[in-house]
Amino acid sequence: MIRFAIGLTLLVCSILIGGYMFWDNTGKIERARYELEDTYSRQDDAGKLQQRIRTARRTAMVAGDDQKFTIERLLDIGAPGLEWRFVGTPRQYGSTRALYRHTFRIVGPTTYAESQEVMRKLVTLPGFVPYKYCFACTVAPKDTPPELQMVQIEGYLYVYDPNTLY
Amino acid sequence: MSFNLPPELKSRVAHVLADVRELFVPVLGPVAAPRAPAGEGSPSQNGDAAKKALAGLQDALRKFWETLNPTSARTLGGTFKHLAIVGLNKTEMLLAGEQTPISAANWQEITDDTMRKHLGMIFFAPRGLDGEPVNPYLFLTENTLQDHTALAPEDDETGMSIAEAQLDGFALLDFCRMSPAMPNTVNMLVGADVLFHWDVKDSYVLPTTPTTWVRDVEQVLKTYPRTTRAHIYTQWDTDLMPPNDRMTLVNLRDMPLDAMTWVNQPTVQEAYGGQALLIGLLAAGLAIGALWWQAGVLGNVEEDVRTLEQSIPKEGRFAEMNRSIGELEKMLAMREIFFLTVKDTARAIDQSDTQIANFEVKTPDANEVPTHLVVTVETAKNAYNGWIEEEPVAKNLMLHSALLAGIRKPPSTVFRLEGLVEIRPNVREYKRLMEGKSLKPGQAGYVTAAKAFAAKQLDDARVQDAKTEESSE
Repeated sequence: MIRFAIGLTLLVCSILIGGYMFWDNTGKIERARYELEDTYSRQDDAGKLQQRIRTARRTAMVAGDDQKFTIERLLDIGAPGLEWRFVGTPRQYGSTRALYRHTFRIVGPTTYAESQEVMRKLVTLPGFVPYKYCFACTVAPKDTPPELQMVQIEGYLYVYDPNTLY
Repeated sequence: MSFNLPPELKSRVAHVLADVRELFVPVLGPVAAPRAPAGEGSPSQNGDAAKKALAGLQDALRKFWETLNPTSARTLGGTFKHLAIVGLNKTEMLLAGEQTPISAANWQEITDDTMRKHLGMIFFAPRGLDGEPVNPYLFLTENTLQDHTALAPEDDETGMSIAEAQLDGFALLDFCRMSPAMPNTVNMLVGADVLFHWDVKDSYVLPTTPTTWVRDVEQVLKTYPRTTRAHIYTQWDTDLMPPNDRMTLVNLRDMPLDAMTWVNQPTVQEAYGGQALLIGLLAAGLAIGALWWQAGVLGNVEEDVRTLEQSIPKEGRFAEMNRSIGELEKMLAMREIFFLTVKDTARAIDQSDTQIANFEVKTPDANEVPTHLVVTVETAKNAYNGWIEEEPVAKNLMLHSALLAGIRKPPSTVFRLEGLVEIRPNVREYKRLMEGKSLKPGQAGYVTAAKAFAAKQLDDARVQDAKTEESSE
């Protein structure tokens, strides 16, 4: 009698508790597998990000080179012609300065051909992204030769820190 | 909730319920059967009537049950390994594998638990004055308990406990509870010092001995009509029995077991307790095993997740990196088209011979990755007057531009034109052209390739314009 009762109790408890826990664990395993797939996906993205970071290091300017005179020498500009100016403060992404961008403005009297040469350098050198080009939009200062027009180029300069972005 | 029924009605209900319970014993098994019908009071006349009325139905149900479940038609030998016949003054035992019974002083000498478990004890408990069988436990232990239960043994709980303890493990077969025999048939059991026979009406116990039992059987048989057939169940030597067509000799082990005689037949719980416990333990084991396996699987998956998590950047930094590099990539993809747009606009102005004051190329919103570029051309003051002069200027600009997708004249005090350049299709086309030549701005041949790209775009635009004009005409 007691064996039957114990056996029946064990059977019922095993079915009820075991079934519930099995069902619960099945859900947990399913969730964990989804999480694993998500982690694999993020690992894949991270791997791609590593590749993209390597590309970004080639296409952005190294921190330290983002100095007015260095850039002017690089672009072969300077007063009294086109002049480089940083606008505002650099914008950084998140809490690190691994990659940040300057907003720049190149303004000055010049010829169209010279401005195109500057534009060619801007799209060739790493980190420069012009988003505005204006030819003869403003009045040239007095005593400016008549063949020169005021040119204004605005854009972003992307800079990376080699010690942080790797 | 309780009902106060009159005593007579209460008694009738109790007896009817008892009869119904007995009726379903063959169908439901011994669950509903009383373990030891000790001390039952005499049924009332109405109870007897109900019992008789249900007896036929009970037999029919029993036969139906035996048809469905052949194992229910068991024999003594098939059910019990050992048999013991408790006679009037003698006990006889038929051990497993033996064909000849041996005499024993009494059943109390059997102390081996295994033997007790597999022994069927046949006895003949007489009926009391009320016609009901006496308590089998008290009957078998009468000599032992006579000191304790001199007056009213059924009411003595201590005596009953002692009796049940002494008979614990034995299967008690009270043959006086045997179901009636078939009509025109008499069954006899010969063993120990008893000749027990039962017919369609009742059962009877007579003393006999191994030397006189043949004559005793013949004497009994003489009391029945000549057409009555007899089944004799015995393990004794039957060589002395003269041949008789009316008699059939059957081995005691082959005697059908009547469930009505088994007064302490184990209940379903008792009979299948071991199996139920085993099944319960197996189920518990399976459940524990399955849960353990699941825990292992879950642990492995979580361990994999933890290991992978350590090899990838944290979520916040990852998102920041992804966003910043994504912006850089998109802006860099746009910058060459921006340069081409400036050159294309300048060339279109030059080739259309437009008198301009200034021109501008910019993105609509500097803070967003652009999808379009806006080209603004402002003509020289008083160079063109009226729609007739301004319309050809706009048309010429469109015709000589390779990249302008559309042009409009916004409301203004001066003649100003705004053109729209789509970046994405041009980037795609530009990349396709440049990838074939593997050129980058500044490299030798780049200008030639860019011009080819611009010329192709211009040709495409002119063809499209021609088609538009033809369709409009």
